[in-house]
Amino acid sequence: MLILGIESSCDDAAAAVLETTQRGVATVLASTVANQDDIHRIYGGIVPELASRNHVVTIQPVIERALASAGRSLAEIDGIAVTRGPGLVGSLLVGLMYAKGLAQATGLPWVGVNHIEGHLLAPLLEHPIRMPYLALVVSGGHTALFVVEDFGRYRKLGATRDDAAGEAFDKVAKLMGLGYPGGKIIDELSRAGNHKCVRIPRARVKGAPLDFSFSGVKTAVASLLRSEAGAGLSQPDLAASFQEAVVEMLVRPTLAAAREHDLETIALTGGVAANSRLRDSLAAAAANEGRRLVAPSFKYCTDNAAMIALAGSYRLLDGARDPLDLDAEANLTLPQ
Amino acid sequence: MILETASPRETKAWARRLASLLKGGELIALVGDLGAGKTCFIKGLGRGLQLREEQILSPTFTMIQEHRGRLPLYHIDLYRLERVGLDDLGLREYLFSEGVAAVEWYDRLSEGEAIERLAIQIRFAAANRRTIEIVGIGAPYRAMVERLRSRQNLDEA
Repeated sequence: MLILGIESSCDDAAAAVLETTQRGVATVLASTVANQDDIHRIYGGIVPELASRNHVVTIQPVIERALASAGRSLAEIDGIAVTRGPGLVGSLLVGLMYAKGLAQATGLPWVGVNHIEGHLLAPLLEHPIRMPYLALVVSGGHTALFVVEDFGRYRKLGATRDDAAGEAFDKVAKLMGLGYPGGKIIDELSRAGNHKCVRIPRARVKGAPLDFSFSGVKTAVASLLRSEAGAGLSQPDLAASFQEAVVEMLVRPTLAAAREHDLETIALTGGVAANSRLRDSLAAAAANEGRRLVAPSFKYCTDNAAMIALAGSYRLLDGARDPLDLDAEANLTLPQ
Repeated sequence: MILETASPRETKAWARRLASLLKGGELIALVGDLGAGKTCFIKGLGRGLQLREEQILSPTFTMIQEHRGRLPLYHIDLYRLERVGLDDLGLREYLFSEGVAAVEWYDRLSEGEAIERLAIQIRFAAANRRTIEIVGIGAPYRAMVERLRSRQNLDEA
């Protein structure tokens, strides 16, 4: 079965062609992304109106590029999977409407996919992983721990109580005058810094050891930058100290969850999974306990349509098709 | 009125007191630097409206989060926008509703100055200390500040 995946939940419009024969057995034939970082860099963040307007322009070329690079034509596609939430509603609608139009014009079955489900299954695009496994989803909009029990069966174990980890990276980069996107800049800057230079207090959520809180580290950096001690710090040292705090605050609950639920494999996914220090620390901490860390390549960590095609594939294989009145949902949650 | 708080807990306690005065239809406009405690304040406001604090997340990513407490709470964050108009994002609907609209980075709203509101500015004082300035703009909001001030006097007495 040949599946066309479409994703436009935030600032990237993406399309992919996935070939699948049975649940979880899939080959990515093509995965393309039209990235808008250049547009949003000017504003130090994503501007929803600009994002959706740009999707309108790029969605069709991105799909055509994916088909061309897979060497397939639209006539060969057997089903369409598209993100319908969560995300920015204006952005979601562009991909969703396009998919529905395509489904109606071609008579192809289509399914609406939860973006988070895409991230949870993304590690399977490159690695066979036996379920259940633990997944840490970290991005600009999400920070959460899930048990992936089976296709379509996910259990949330914990989540952030305030800011997402990626949001903390972006906002601290802004505080430090470093630009956008913050995660990548801080990661690179940190390599030249000493993370022991200044101690950023680590936050724990009282009574909820599998939850996260990143608002305090952001405030700590803001206070530090206002203080005399902060004025004497080099940017790489401060970046490294901040990053180390965030990484520790992600690693501890993740390992605790793996122990508590006896899960051997930990999957790291979402845009922040591209952070090299997080990958190294989590891999080391996992190995230390005889567990395995699986992290997709960078292109499948950030928003992409291959993971959306995969997350829609098991339902399409079962013959499912969603009704054309299924709508986009900005705050769509995963059924527990 | 000007408040001095020594911890996030104290900031939230003041927001809870404010919440007890709300009847629906109010606009709470928050201004303050990154890390000043705007989301923290709204967590307290949410508590006061019988929401659980952990339901109130930073809405930076989604821009608008709706909560159903004692009154509907529309938690809005304009951080990602340089300049935004009332007719963008359907803001008008949220700002003039039957619920409570709490807007972070209100200064990004271009027509914002002309709108009656409870204006709250949070400033860094020292490490965990914050100065919170609350100004009522428009008669109903000035009355609200007076009622809040009487609570302050009671607490100090």
